[in-house]
Amino acid sequence: MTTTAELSPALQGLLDERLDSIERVLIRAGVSRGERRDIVQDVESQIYDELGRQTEGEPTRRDVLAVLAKLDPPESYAPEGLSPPAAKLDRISGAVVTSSLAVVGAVMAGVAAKITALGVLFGLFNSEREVLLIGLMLGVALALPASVCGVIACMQIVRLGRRGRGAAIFAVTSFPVLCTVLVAGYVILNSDGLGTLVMIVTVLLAVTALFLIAGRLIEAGLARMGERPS
Amino acid sequence: MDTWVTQIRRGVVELGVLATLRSGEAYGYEIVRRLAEAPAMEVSESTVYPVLARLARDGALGVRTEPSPQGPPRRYYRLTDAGRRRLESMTQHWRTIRDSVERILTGDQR
Repeated sequence: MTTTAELSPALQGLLDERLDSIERVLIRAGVSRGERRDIVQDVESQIYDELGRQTEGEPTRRDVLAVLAKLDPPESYAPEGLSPPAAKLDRISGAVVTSSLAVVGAVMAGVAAKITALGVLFGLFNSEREVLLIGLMLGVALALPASVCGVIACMQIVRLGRRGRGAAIFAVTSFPVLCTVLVAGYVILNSDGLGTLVMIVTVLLAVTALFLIAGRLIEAGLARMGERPS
Repeated sequence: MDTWVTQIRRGVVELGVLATLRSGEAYGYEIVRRLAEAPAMEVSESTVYPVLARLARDGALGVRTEPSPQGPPRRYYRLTDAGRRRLESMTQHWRTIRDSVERILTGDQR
């Protein structure tokens, strides 16, 4: 008899994802198939046990995430000496390490934003289109590696339980935001006075919306992957 | 210092698991909870389940599954004869080591 059917496919997916992560760590550590199966079954049994304790009726997504958050991270299942170096160091020290890529990405994103802002200000005050466009393009060029760093950092934060989620999200959003500014800047340069004002307001709203949407999407993605709340 | 404490805890988890099952069978999470009640042990499922799987593979533990009111069937672990012998041997070694360290710490090295 099982109550597996009581979980919706989406919630079952959350649970399966965690169990698969644990199994992947055990595979990398060279644990035999039989032992992997036994360990994963015990973890699954524990999850349902906790769900049964904490909830009455059908578990919600919040209930499942709360139970998953209480579990040890998948990396902690690797036997001593066989775990990935970074995860091993984190586990031995007991400290939560900040993702260095998140920091690097955020710094690059910050520099990109400053270059863009300087280019825009200098270009507008001196009415030099070339300076404005060069500033925007330099900013976008620097924002691309920043966003790549941010995406990798997000994966590290989820898989290794590292800190730096805010910095990672800032880095991820830098490229799409500056691309929008670049396109908007180009359009503004080719429009008249009233059109420029309307366009500036539109761009500001668009950039704000983009920030919010990107932030929400990434937050939702992290939650789906069962990250512990920071 | 933290690493040293962690290593000691890891070293005694197997003894703790075997001792927990001396009084009768139990399922995985039950064993985790019983061990977690001992404050100094600070064990969790990622430490205990691999030990259970290894001890079962080595024949020190027997396993049977039983339907659970919550989720998939539970795996109940029990000591086998080999497991009891292992527990007795480990307990003896543990007491010898504990007494020796105690004598060293108190300066009474007779």
